[in-house]
Amino acid sequence: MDDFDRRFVENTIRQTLGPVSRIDLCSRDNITPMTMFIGLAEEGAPWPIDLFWVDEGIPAHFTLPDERSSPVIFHSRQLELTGLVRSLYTTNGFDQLLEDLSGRICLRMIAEFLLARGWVDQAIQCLAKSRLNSSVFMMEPSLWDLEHLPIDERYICIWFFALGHEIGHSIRSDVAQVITEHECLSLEWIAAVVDRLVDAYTPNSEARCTLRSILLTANADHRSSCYASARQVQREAVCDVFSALTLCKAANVILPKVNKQLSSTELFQEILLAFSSLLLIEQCRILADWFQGTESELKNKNFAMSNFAINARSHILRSVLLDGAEFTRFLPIIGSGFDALRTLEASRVNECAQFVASRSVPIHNGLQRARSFLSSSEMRDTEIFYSYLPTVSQCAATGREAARFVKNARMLGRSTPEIDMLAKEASVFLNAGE
Amino acid sequence: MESKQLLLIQTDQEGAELLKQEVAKIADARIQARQIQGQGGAPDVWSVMAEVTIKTIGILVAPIMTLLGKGNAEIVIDHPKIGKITCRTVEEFERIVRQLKKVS
Repeated sequence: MDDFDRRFVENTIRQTLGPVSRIDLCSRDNITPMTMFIGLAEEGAPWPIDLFWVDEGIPAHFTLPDERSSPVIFHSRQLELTGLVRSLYTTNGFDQLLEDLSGRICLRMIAEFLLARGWVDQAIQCLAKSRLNSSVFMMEPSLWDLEHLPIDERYICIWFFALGHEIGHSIRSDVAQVITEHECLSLEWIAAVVDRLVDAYTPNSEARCTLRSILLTANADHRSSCYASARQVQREAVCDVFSALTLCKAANVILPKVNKQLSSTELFQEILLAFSSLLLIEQCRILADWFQGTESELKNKNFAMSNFAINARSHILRSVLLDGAEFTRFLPIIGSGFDALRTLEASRVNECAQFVASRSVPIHNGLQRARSFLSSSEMRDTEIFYSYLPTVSQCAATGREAARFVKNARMLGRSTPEIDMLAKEASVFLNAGE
Repeated sequence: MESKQLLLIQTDQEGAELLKQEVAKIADARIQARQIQGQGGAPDVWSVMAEVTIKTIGILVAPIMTLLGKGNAEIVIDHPKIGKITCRTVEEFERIVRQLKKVS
């Protein structure tokens, strides 16, 4: 990577995430789970991976592949959000409590994404609503917490599932081909899955016709940017599968080094949890885009399409992982020394999948609550902000969250009287972090 | 030596290809264009960075105006003397180009 390439990557990071002050190009000098994972993922890529680590700004991992190099951007806040949403999936509690917590966590994430897009008032409203009238909160894991987790299946999946997905955008064509040869990744199979999802989630027949017509045009156009076109879903699903396979390989290499015996059932469950967490974060990101362009939304139905795409990807990854008999086809990617997933018992696999699916129902109801709030008249109710404001200095968790929001707003150059009021209430936490 | 400025542009694939073609016509100018791939994110967002002098920026004015006119681009100009300026409309870009000519 020459100086011009590096300036290009750094400028793109700042244009995408905000004017972050620090961008680190990670060295490989030390052997850590991260460098080991990248090394293993690189075996499927045509050139070395350059990993750029960012702590500030709007959470997002992304990649900028071309014919010469693969810079991958790793954002520690994205990692914290993955840890938070995973905790949501594994929290013991009644469905109603889980739905409430999920709705609040979704609003918090949406607030961060709205702030990035310049919808400051809406972002503050979501942040305020996420904390109002609740006595039960989920503590967010910090980067420190996540760094100090025991190195096991959970650690590997929380840290590396999303990273593996991004590296998946730069894999060699022969590796991608091995993956797409699986029946569940064929364009025909994917188009059929999306079509079934349109049927299942669109009760109105006129709306169904409109969506099918958009999909028909998108599937006929190689360069379509429709989220749910079969090609686009296939591209993302290949990255999901590549990541899952690389996690298998990584667990097989990393866990013995810390004297941890690999449990294929736990690994399978953690892959599903990390993947489900990632998708919930993505849905919140897409919901925040809702305000961006109503004209494009009406024409392209991006929100509905992105939901179909996410559901289809989820269906594909589960089907591929559950298909133990077909796993040998992936040996060129994961290496012949590994057979943990092949030893999974079908009953245990189904148990894991059912557990994650059962948690997904209340969690997605929570997302729907957040979505309803965005389009409700409450979005303009100033009482919500003024009721929330005094709680910022009274509750440490609320104060720390508000301080993070204010820091991001300042970094992005967003300034409103409400942000100033929030900064005043959160001053103790703002000063503590400086 | 004439100072160079960076143009950072986020656009779609069509816009990125148009800019690559135009920059290829300029001697000593450099360009990078790559698709931003995020998890399930917007599938057609490209990041473009071009390094040009004020003399040659004129060649890019027309294609950039086209992209801005279509509403599918965001331009950041990073000039050694005036720093970073962002523009999203044709009018903003015209004003910045005039300002650049004055300081260069």
